[in-house]
Amino acid sequence: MAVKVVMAGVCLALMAGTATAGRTHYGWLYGTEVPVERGVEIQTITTETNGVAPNNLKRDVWWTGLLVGVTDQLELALPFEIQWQRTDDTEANTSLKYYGLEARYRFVTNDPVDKPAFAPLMRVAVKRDIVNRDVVRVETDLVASYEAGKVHAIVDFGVIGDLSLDDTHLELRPGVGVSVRVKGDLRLGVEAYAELSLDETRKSFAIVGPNVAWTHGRFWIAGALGIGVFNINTAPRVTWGVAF
Amino acid sequence: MVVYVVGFRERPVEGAIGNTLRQKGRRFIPDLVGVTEGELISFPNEDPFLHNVFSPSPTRKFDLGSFKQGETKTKQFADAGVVDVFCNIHPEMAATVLVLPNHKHTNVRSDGSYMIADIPPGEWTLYAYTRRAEKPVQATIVVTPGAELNVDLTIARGPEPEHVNKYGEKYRDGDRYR
Repeated sequence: MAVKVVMAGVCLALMAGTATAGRTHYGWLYGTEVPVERGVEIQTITTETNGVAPNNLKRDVWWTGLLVGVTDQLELALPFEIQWQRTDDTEANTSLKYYGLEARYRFVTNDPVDKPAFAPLMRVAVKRDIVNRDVVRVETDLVASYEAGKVHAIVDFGVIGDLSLDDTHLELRPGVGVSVRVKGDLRLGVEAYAELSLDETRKSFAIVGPNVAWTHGRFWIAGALGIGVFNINTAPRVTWGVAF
Repeated sequence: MVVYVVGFRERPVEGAIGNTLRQKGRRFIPDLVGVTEGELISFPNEDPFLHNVFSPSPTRKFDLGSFKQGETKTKQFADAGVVDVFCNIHPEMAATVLVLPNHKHTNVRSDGSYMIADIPPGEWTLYAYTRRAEKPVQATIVVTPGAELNVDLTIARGPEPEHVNKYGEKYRDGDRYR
């Protein structure tokens, strides 16, 4: 038995490309996706909190980090943070506030076909406080997402600890959100988030508001406008990333 | 080129590596393989640099990330269809996986000959497929117990179709040398 091959006419096919997955669909909440092995991403988070009681605190934070996929489920990040803040009682000041190391581990595969609907992820960050040099900040988040068709829901439970030899400050940072794919890679949703201080050194606040997310090739962006529920006026937050 | 028979299903061997797509010399070797639904393809990197194997095909999207010489990744192919495979780093690398409903498929030898054994009795369709074919060619075959069939097929082949990287972008010329 044999197969003969003959040359035929020209046949050109330009295949459609695929957009990569966005890292988070939310403004204030971490997502459950990580880069593929040896994938690299630059990510920036811009956070604004306005009118935190009692002295009308305004704080902006710019977080930038280089993320590296160590395996298909483990990611390391090298971030630093710049902070600007002002209150009714203090002058505005800008500082390079933190640098550190962050790891995120997704407990299930991220394969587009094999991944389960329910995906948990753990995030741990250790940061040097450059301004208060005897303080180390430790952050941890347990994040769980559920995806069904166009709908994506998430729960993010975070704990922050500012640790020094003299004192310890703890905060709980819970959040929930839902995001719906509305057209192409554009998503809309809503989320709620709170920072709950376990002592009097910082004030707690809570927000709720709409979010939007978009992925385009190697670029993705997500943002939320937090509207104050408790102790705060507004809190917008935007995250974007570029994959390499 | 791959020749295959359709019209009946066979159960996959659980966890079996149905075929291998080697990466060597900035090429997939071979550039066309068949695999039975539910079985795995092995992707060993035999080049002294990274490859990032991926597929945008709706039948089986995947991204193996970048892996180095000596590493092997595997991927299961659960649904029948055509899966195009590329490297995100090297635009000249392209291959196709045919995910088939049974084990009755084989790669054609360099002299054009092929053999498929143990086809169950019945009337089936025999296909020949090459990556650059405008469409596969087919022939109806009637298999009787113990009999041998000789089927010659002629297939037309065109140039390699263009493709984009995993982000949907055209490859930059410099990527060729990474």
